[in-house]
Amino acid sequence: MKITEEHNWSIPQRQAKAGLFVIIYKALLTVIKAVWPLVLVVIFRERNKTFDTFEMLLIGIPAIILIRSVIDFLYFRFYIENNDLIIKRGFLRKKVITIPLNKIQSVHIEQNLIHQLLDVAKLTIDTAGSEKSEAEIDAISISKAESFKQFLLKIEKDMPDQAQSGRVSTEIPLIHLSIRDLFKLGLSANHLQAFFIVLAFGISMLQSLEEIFGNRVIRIVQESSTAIGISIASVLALIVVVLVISVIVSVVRTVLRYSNFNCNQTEQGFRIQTGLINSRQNLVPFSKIQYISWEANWIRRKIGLFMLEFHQAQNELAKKKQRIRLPITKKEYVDRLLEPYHLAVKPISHSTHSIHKVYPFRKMLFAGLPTAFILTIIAFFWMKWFALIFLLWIPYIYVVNTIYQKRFHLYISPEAFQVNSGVWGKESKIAQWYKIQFLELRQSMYQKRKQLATIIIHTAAGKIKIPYVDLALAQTVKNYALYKIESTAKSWM
Amino acid sequence: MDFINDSFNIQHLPKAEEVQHTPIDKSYLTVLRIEWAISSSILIIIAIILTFFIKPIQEPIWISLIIVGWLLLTVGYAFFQTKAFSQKAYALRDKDVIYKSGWIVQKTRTCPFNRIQHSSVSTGFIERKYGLATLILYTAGTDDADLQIPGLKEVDAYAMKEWITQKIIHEDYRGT
Repeated sequence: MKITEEHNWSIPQRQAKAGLFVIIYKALLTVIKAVWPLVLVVIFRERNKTFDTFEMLLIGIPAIILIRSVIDFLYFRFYIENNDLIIKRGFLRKKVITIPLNKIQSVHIEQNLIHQLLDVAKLTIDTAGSEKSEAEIDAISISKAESFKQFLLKIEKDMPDQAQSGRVSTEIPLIHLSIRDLFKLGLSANHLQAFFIVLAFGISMLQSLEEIFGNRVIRIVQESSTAIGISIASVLALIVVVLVISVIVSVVRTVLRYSNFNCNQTEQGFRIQTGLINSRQNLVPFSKIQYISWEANWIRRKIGLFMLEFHQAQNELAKKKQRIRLPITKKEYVDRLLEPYHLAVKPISHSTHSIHKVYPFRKMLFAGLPTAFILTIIAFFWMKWFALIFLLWIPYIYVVNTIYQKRFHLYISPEAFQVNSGVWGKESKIAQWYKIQFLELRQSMYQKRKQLATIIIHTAAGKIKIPYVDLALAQTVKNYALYKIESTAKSWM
Repeated sequence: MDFINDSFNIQHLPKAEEVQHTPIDKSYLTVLRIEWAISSSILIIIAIILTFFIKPIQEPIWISLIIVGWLLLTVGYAFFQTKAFSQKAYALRDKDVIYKSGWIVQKTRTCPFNRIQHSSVSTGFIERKYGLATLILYTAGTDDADLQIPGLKEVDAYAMKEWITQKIIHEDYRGT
């Protein structure tokens, strides 16, 4: 049993003494990572050349690091004051970080090798959207870390949606995929990806064949390609074979990923299970969903297939790139999956808005023209007049953005908004107003003259951009969103 | 304009654009200029050292190019900095903070108090000499620092931080 001592956390305190070594070690590691090529240059340089400044720098840098680390250590304090965790640090640039205790999501105690050697631990304090929290105590004695963790989490709020225990929940199955659905999904997948996998595999195969059989393979390939008549046919055949293999690979990949797929609705959220070999189960609590999107590429749009994604607050899970995507084979599934969050806004929208007609032209001017000219000029040196082909990029950008402008729609309803967009494919996003974290309005000088603005809506799962709308609309959206955020008595997660 | 067809009247929404914004303290421009002067001197020192070591660029054309380039950069940046500074302004409302910045592209960020996770006050070396500080507010949104208000009087920055912290403790998810 470990005895956790009583500590008075309201007294500002430093990190553990051993922490100094941890900090120096950390700083050294980052510098070594950055300058090791320089070190090599100096070590292996020719003796007769004098490069003294470099050597001085190399001695100077560690000295500066050492001093900086000591100063950082000396100026670091953490304590509790009025239910806030306060961390003070820095000498030249001083920083005071304040974290209300009831906003702390989790506390991690970590020990890597150096921590173990020095018998200390690293304490990381996470709030929602934690990547930027900066609340780290590099070195703290283990007993202190344990008791501080307990102290921090004791005051933690009791989240209403985590209160259930031992209740038998009823599950309603929502989606099931038939074999036919699986094949449809596989055939309509992005074959380009599979193509590259096959290509890479083929090249490595060829290389290993070469290693095994020496030059014989190459000779056979060369001999067979000498007859021109055969070679065109064989190239065509090769392309067909690669294409067929790519499609087969896509289908197999999809079948493996989505066989046994099922999605059930429980009382608290969706339970999603998928995969034949690497079976994976995900739970998506309703309250954690920040926004929902569904999309289809060109082919899938034609046959009515969608991929729906639940966007959750970015936390540990999101860092591992575990996206939660569901294949949708019937339109009514979308409604069923949306229902616990918010039904599609489009059919019930109170108003519909689009982006300004000038959008494709501005895009062409600022995204199309510069790239096209630079590419043309660079290419001119070895392609001569063929380089002008790159100028086609300009009309291409114009056409793409014209389609984008035509297809883009913003639908507004009292509780949520929906954004439909897409050039070749189709994408819809739906978000409840109160899930928004903060809003940004942007106006270039041109937009200011034309009374236009771009809205960027930041949620905990990413941002949604609404470009080139009327300023009046942008302001109304902003004011309404703020009103909903500030008056909704529901937790956003 | 139709927006929401409800008993709710959209005209009665509090309008964020009608709030009086407080411009950033003038002395912060001095801080920015000193900081830029230091950075740009470091830049020219590096350039001088490099010219000293790399033989091929020790020619009048290259040296004059470097000098002209450096001058353009220094003056140009200072110009943009001054222009952008005049746009920086903030406003505190009952339930949110607004910060405006940017000259070529003007950005207005509005952050409701009940979405703030934590906050910090940071003071650089030169900022401190002028008694200024930067207030940084963090939400769970995906950008790095969500709202940074620079050039506040140090006391004001701490007072604002304290005020906002009290707000976020008491309001918690609710705003009413």
